[in-house]
Amino acid sequence: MTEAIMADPAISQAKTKTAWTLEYGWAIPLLLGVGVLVAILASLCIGAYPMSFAQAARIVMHLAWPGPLPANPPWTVKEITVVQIIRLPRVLLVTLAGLGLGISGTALQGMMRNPLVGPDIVGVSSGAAFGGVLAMLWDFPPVGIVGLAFCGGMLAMACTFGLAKLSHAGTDSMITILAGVFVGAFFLALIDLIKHLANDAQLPSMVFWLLGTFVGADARKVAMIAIPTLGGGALLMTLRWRLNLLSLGDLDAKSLGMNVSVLRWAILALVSLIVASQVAVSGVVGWVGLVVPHCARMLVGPDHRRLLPTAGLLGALFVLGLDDFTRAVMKAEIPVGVLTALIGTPVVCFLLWKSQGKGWGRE
Amino acid sequence: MSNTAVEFHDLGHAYKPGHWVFQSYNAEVARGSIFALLGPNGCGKTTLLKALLGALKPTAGKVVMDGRSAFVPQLFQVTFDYSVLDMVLMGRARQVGLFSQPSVEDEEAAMASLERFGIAHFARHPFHELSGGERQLVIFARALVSEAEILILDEPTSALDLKNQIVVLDWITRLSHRDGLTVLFTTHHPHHALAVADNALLMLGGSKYASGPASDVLSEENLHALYGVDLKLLPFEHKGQLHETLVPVLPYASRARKEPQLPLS
Amino acid sequence: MIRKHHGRELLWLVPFICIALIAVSLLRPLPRFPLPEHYRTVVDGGGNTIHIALPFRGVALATNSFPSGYLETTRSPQLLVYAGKPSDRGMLAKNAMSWIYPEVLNDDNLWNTRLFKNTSSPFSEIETLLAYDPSVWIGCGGPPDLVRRVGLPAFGCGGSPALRQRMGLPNLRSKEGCGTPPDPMRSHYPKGYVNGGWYFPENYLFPGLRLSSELIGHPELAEPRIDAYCKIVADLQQELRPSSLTYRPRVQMVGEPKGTVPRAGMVDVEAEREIPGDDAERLLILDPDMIFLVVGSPQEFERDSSWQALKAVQKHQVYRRPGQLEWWATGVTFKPVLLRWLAEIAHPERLQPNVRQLLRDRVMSEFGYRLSEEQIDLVLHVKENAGSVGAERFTRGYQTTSEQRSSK
Repeated sequence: MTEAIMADPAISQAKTKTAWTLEYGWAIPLLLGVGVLVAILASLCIGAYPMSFAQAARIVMHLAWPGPLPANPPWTVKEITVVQIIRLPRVLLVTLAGLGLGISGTALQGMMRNPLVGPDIVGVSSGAAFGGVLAMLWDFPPVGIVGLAFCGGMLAMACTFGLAKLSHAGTDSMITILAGVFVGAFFLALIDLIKHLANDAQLPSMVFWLLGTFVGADARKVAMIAIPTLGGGALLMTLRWRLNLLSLGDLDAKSLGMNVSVLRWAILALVSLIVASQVAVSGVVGWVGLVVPHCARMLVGPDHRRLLPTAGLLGALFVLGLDDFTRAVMKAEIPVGVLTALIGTPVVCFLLWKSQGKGWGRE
Repeated sequence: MSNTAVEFHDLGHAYKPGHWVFQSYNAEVARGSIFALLGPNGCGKTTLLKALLGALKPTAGKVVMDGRSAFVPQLFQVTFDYSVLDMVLMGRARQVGLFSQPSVEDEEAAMASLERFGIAHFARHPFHELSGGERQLVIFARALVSEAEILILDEPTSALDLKNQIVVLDWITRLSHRDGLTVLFTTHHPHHALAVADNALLMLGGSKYASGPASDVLSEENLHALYGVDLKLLPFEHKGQLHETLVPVLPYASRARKEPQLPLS
Repeated sequence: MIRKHHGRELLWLVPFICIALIAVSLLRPLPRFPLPEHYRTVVDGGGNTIHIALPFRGVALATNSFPSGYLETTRSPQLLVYAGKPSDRGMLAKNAMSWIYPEVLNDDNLWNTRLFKNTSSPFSEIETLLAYDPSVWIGCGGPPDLVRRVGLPAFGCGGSPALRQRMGLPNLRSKEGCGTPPDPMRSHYPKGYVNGGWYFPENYLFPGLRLSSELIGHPELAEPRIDAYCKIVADLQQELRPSSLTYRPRVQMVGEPKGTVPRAGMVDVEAEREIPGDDAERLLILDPDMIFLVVGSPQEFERDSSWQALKAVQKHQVYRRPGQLEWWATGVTFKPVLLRWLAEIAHPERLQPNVRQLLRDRVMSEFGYRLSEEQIDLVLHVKENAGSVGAERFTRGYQTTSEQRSSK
């Protein structure tokens, strides 16, 4: 059986990094999962009102466990108010945004065979932002803002991939990325038009929202992001092995027996859903969907069975960390979108250098 | 299961209306046989392959494929550095449910496939660290683990050195004769086709093609028409069996060597 | 064939389900704040019943409820938590209230910033509010609903007195007007001249005073102060005898409730007829006898070439009205003084110069604080009005000719 060519024996014996991640990589998502839950509780301790970790944990566990709350609780009314009304919605919003962005960014990168794309590049964020400011211009209630943002995101996504299809480009080619950039730019121009049309009362809140902010979180916003993110994210999780196949290329995946186009559009729709819901409740938080999957890939390797959960959890930790930083240290409400851009841009530049351009324009 | 694994009737494709890449092709590939596709660059070999795989809807004609197919592409650029085992595991796409992940059985099948090709020790190595020949074998392993009956290869020997070319050709023969797979491959090397193929199809441009048993189709006239160069058929004996191979006739080099002109001193 | 899977394939469900459970927990009913053991019930302007916990721990104010207003009406600096920007503190420092209660400027906790930002929802600093734990929150222009949701008693500023009346509570606006006879010009007011319903300062001063006194648990303090206010107004009316005035100067005064001008025996040029167009043109058309500025100095105004044609400029009857900036409070203390000041300018022959003494007495009786001569000069803008006709009666050491004669 061994007439097959033998390679350099040194390689076969070396315990490569890939081998390590294959052996132990499964432990990382587990650790990250625990980490996220701990981080949620820790984030609940940050704020002007004093709250200890143990107390926060106690309150959250009683709240989350189905069943009535104890009659003589070991916490004061003020403490549970601070948790339930003020902090928990915000922490959840942040976590879900990070989770959604991490998962959708990874799915996009895998599908487009390009480790340097993100939801921003495909135009979804801009479209959803456009929908949101349009709703603000027409003075819609918050439900309306979310709904219209979602529609805007889907519209932008459809434009990008429709344009790509018209140019006979596959979803994994450079042309699609260009189409996404153009569509995104168009929607940004529309957003500027709307900012011009807005009156003095609407404009500041529009600008603030566009920067990406988690201020003003309440139960309704959490519901609006939780359902698409957890539902769509769960679906993407079940499809995570299929992403491996998609990342090989259309011809290969098809030859392995997959219905490539249906799966691609399904994944795109799910990604749109998740990103649009995130933009709708908290504005444009950029760069997370691009940076986090790459960092996750460095941790656990490219196999999406491990990568997707890792990226999601890492995204949640990342955005949660930034928001905690903004609340605790800065005390000023620096929009999280600004922070992710300030941190994300140098990281992307670093990644571009390290990756030596692999994954760009080799079609 | 019928005797014919692949057949195509009146197959033709034009990317732009009126500009046919090939037209009115008919052929039948018997189950368990080896079929070679030859033609110069740009005459549509890849297009024909895509049509066979179902990745392209042909402008005219139809393809009937009786059985599952697996594809081994010519170039293999992977954006992400999957491990060898992961690559082979991807071949189990048909066996794994849409929303499921590969099971323990799938992973065992992948390892078995790697062992079969003698590269099991590479299982945990990243794919891009392997040499060209090793990668080819990994893709073979992947094709086989998908339990396909029809193997389609796009220029399997083009990127390989001599030793690996021979290994691959040997495997093609082995898979067909011993394991009963139907193998279709495109090639630039007519002597490879002559060595292993049972039947062959030469794409001569437009609606012209030559199809049939390899020894008949791969004649000096046909090859001259196909490539525009002279090739001589050379019979030889090996282990009691008569074989044939092709030898190129170089246009300039066949002239006798003349004495070099020394400068007049 | 039953396929054996790795158990850890489904581990991702764990964080998902945990997060989902926590998210669902937000749907639980909001925590119910039990009634405090000891509390006082107050009904705010909008008819909302507020339970204020005792012992009384003070109030938290929204940005546009000026602390000076609270101080003036409640006279309790120890009970104040102000939610404003550092620049607000700067403004208060220039204010008479900070002379009287200098301790207000010291405590940094009072100047917690961004409780209410224009661009975002007010959640940012609501926790600080909870941490301070004031007994009641006064939200003028803030979000009472939000504050109520976190369990603080939220005392709204506005509201219709009719609602309180339906609840059988005493009328917040009684005695307003202080018995002033109606303006004879009232039927000629142009459309929109009196908007908002605040014709007299008492329209908003008296309800504020009464509500604040209820708030700090001393409702009995309100009426005597109201009576004192009205007494000064009534005394002025007796001295001025406005019904017998033959001449009423035409004046321009913006920013004051419209009833002030006729009370001081003057006529508001804006009340005569409606003139559209921008302010500069209107002023030239109306050409009042006197102009009362809110900011700036009369000297600058008179130097401005646009106004040279005005009568008031030529006769040096441009005045800087006292009480802005240096008295940035509601005006319970100061409004009667302002009224007398105006009347003395308009009708010097009928009134004895008494503004300085009145101001001194008011501040002493309200706060027990003795204003210095320099402080009185500041409040009355003596320096700015130095060149204006009739303003010398407000300077210190001024004696009328009759007094001079009697001292000889």
